[in-house]
Amino acid sequence: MQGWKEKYTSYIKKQQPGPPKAPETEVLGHSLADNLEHLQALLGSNGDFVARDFLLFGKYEAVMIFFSSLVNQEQIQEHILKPLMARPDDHQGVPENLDGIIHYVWKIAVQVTQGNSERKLSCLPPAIVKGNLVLLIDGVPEALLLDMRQIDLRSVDQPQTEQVIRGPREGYVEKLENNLALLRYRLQSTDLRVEISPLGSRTRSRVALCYLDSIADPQLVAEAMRRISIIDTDGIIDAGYIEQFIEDQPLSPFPQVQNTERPDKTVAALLEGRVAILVDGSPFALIIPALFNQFFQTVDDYTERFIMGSLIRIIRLIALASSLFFPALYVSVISFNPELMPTDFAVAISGGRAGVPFPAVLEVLIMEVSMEVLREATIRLPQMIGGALSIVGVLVIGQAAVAAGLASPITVVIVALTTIGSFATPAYNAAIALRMLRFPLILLAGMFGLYGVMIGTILIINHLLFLDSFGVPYMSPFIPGKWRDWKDALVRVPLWWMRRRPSFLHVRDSARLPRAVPDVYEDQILQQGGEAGERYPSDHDAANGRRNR
Amino acid sequence: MRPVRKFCSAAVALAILTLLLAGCWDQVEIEDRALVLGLSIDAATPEEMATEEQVTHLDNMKLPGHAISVTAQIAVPGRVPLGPGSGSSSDGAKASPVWVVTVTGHTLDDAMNNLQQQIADPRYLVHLRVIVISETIARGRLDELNDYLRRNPEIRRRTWLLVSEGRASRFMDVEPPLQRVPTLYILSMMEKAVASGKFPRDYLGRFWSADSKWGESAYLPYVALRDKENILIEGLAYFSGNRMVNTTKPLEIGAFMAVQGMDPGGYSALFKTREYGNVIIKTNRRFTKTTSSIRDGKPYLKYELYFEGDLDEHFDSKKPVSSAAALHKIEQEFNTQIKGVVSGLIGRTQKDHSDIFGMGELIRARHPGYWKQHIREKKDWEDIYSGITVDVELHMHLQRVGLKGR
Amino acid sequence: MNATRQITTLRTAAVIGSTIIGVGILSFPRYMAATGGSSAPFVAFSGIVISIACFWLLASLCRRFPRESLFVFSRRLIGKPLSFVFAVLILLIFVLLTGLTARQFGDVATTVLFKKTPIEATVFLMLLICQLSSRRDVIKFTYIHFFYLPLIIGPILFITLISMRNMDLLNLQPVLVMPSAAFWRGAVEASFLFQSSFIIVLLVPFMQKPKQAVRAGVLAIAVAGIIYLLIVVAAIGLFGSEETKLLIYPTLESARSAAVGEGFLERLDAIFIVLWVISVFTTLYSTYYLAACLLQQVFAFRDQRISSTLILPFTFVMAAFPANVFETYTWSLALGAASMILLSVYLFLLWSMYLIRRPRKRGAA
Repeated sequence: MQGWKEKYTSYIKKQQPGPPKAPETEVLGHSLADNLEHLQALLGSNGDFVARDFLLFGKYEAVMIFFSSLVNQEQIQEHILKPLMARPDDHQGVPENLDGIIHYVWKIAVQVTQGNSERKLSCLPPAIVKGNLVLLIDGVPEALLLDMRQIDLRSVDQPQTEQVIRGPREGYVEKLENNLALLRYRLQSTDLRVEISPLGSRTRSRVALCYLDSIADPQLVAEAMRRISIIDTDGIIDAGYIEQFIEDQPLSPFPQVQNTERPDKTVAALLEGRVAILVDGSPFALIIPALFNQFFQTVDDYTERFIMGSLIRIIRLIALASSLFFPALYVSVISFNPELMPTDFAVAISGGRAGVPFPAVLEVLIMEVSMEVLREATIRLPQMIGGALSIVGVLVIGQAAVAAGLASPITVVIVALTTIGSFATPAYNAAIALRMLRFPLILLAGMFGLYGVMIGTILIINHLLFLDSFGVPYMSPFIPGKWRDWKDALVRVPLWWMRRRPSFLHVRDSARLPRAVPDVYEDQILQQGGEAGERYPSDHDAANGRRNR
Repeated sequence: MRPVRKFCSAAVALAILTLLLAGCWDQVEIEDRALVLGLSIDAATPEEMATEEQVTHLDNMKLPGHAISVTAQIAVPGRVPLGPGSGSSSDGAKASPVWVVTVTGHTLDDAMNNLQQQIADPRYLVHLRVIVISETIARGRLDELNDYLRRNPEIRRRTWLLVSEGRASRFMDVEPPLQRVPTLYILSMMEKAVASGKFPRDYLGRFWSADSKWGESAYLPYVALRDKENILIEGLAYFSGNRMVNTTKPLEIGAFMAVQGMDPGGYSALFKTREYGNVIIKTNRRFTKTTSSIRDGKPYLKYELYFEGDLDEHFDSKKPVSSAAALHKIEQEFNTQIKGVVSGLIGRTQKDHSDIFGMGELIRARHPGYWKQHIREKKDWEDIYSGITVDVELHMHLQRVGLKGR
Repeated sequence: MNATRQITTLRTAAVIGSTIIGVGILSFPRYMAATGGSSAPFVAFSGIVISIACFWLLASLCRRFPRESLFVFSRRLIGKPLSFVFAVLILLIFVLLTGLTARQFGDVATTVLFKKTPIEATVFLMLLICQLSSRRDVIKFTYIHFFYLPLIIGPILFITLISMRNMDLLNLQPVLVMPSAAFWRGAVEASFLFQSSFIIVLLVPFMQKPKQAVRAGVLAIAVAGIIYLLIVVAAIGLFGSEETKLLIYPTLESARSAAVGEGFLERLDAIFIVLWVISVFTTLYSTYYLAACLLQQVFAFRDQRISSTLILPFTFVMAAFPANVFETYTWSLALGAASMILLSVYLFLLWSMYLIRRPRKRGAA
């Protein structure tokens, strides 16, 4: 209590016409005390601010300044403090005067990998905030900056939002260096370019733009840089902040920037010629351009064998469509076009609905909204309670609603199917777009029946067709598209058949497989896999392959 | 520019909002609809005529004197349980799942309006599957009936229109044990008859098409009630000039389908052979070849009917059917005997001026010159039809005799 | 990324095709049956041939001016005032056409789907989505058509294939008939349906290969023509020509008679109508877009956004004009004849001026 009171008074005092700010150009003085005072004025009062004074080599007054929360104190002790506080006898070459002392300290005394010297006073605070250690020596108008940054991190973990059956288990963490390391570890190519620059006038979050120089379309890279460069905000807390600044159509419900927690997915995107954006402090990478196919493509499609991958992709697409259209179709069939049902089923359904007091629109809306509430509630809860709640919720909403005459059993089935369908969509932000779009569709169905659903669908599809993501039409490779891009659209053909990168990304180098690879795989299929061992590239095959093309 | 655009978008938004608020014009929940599943139409007796309501007209208007009595079968929501056999709790719901209402009117539309006046929920014909008309109606005024049914978009073209022996309304009261809803029983009976080759696919739409064609006469299923519960397909009720003229026997449905070459063959023929006693031949497949020509200024048609069949039953004879020759003998007998049935049917329709076989269409398609010269309207062909020569030839091919060797 | 010339030949064909297939499909077999009887498909076929000929005249002229749209180069050919008059006339025709098409759509929807919903609501909703979609550029315009074309052709093919099972080939015989006055009237009426292939004049300046404009259009008319032929064949084959004459929407009736798996899925007409909404939308969208672009050129607006909004009330009023179903049909037939005459006069003028001026140019060079 007492401590906070003191802080309060000093804080209030500081809010009054503040101390003179050090001009931008002010350089360090010779007096250590002056320098220290200036520095403290710039940084303000901080609980984790440390200014450790000691005798350099036993004879010069010196101070180390750092934030204890940002640096590795053990290493400071071991590699900086220990050699610097050693007695002069250990340092035979210590210069006699102060002129060469900084040089000597950097070259011989400290054992630190990164650092530099600085004369400007105004440059010191940002460095300290970043995690540097500043060494000031009395009588020397120069400071030594040593990078001692260390932030404790959670370990690399399984990504929470994108689980896969088969594929790497690593996900991004918060620290940029680690994330870049995860990328570089998978993509050991000299082509990988990482442009890093801070963003946000206050947070100074470092933002990294990654692309493969020999593949990515220069226009795309330039456009991405342009859009990032015009961001002018005080803080970038997460990659999501950047997404909202650079997307094409902020009013669209569909995400035009893909985000992922998976380094392997990022690498795959880079290899296709896309651009990835990572932000320090965010475990998500942004991938641009993002197209409609993000709604139904996952990593599993590629790691699993191609037939299964394709089939599951189609199933996902069905789930997608059902999560969007099912309730609306149900409403319009029930209240507008009952002739579409087989007669005996129609008679039975009207029996099931006989006790329900609401029109079908209202009934479905109530059920859908409560389902959304339930979903939202389970996400925010700790996992153990969440599981319990979802069971209770399903029981209550399903059984009791029917028993109480709030909803008909068929409605419950429909709502359940819709919800399950929406969970089959791989990307959360994409799924939520469709989930929200089904509400206007239900309303339209309630007004105009099937015609309303159709009008709503036309509006949605038109919007999708009009949408662009970084100059790439959102619905490519479907519209517009080349046939060869269909190899990785609704289905995924074998990897060895996808010889070229997607054309809609306008890559510099579109060859995925070298052009001269013989068609051994096709031959194998034609031969029902016989004698595969012998048929690996011989000159004859290579010639064949070339001729076939 | 700015304010104009803002104003425009505001106006559009307002318009959509009004649409939203005023919407739901056609929304009627399925349980609030009186779904008419079946209709029966009879000529009204004088007593019934007296009960007619004045919904679409007043008494003093000049209207045709006759009237019809319409019985509608309306599904009652809640009486049919959802899902397969939902337990013993539905013991109390033994009550009939349909509500049978009888009204009288001058026409079908008039009667429907009277019906609406009597029941609360709006009636819908979207699930109307079966219409039964009595023979009196069929022999009389089908035109006004067809007009209403054709105009109404709710009517399916796959509705069954049946002609009943006696009063049609009795069909609405049957309580068949096989189906929960009586009309659906009639429906599934007809559908299964089609599937097993007992009856041609003669939906309402088919009937209308045949009725419109100049070179073809329409026909309808002719049904009768046996034992209060059982519905029997008694034959074809065939039409000439929009009026029903006569009916056939059930076996003649088979003969008719044979002439048309319709598959599968669902009829069996029982006949007495000279050497092998009595046999029943079951027809499996049929195929028909038709040739036509104009001879002496008159159309001439020849039908060659090919059958594939099995020997189904053989009794009253010492001689076993155990050789190809024996089968061949039976085939010969079948050909001559059944030919009588087929030519009998053709002869009778000719006498009644009712070309249910569509021979006129054949002539129209193959001899357009003759057709253009002689036919000006539907009646012309029906007159010519009764005078043309039709030859029939049968070729039965027996394939199997079952599991019995001798 | 070539920003302007992006439209491939195939996509051009798709635009024309999906524009042509529109409201007409529902009642088309009736006209054909009324004029041709059992040889209705032959009448329809002659209509297709006529429209291909007309299209060739138009497209091969446009092809010679690959960089400009029709209204720009017509200014040079026949002078500013005359081309302005024609532009205004064509604009009027397309506004009328949009309105009447929307009205026909509304009539069908009200008869079959909605008994109580006011026709104004259905029509307005349809026109509204056309207006909203008309604010985008031509490239996106072609995307829409390209995407919807399979959704238009698919259901029609499906319904026809189902109907094929119950078809009676006798109904289609005799196939050929001696051309008579009624025959030619029917053929010309059939060619009215293909008039909206006029949309090509918008696309030529944006095509990758403007030389292939004719090929794209002929492909599109052929595909759409096959669809129309199939519809006629299905309706006549299923019902016979006499019954087809009685039905106001024969195609719809063939959807109504169709059933999947012996009554498992019946009453396909509601589904058919709903999918038909797409084809109506693409047709309306094309004519609306064309009208908006024309208005923009006539009044020299910056883009067609404002003109697309201006057109909305006019088309809506047009849609509300006809008093009943029959009037709608007589009006649209009259409009078809009028635009046929107007377009041929226009084309004749343009062609003759072009032919007169060309030699002089060559001489100068």
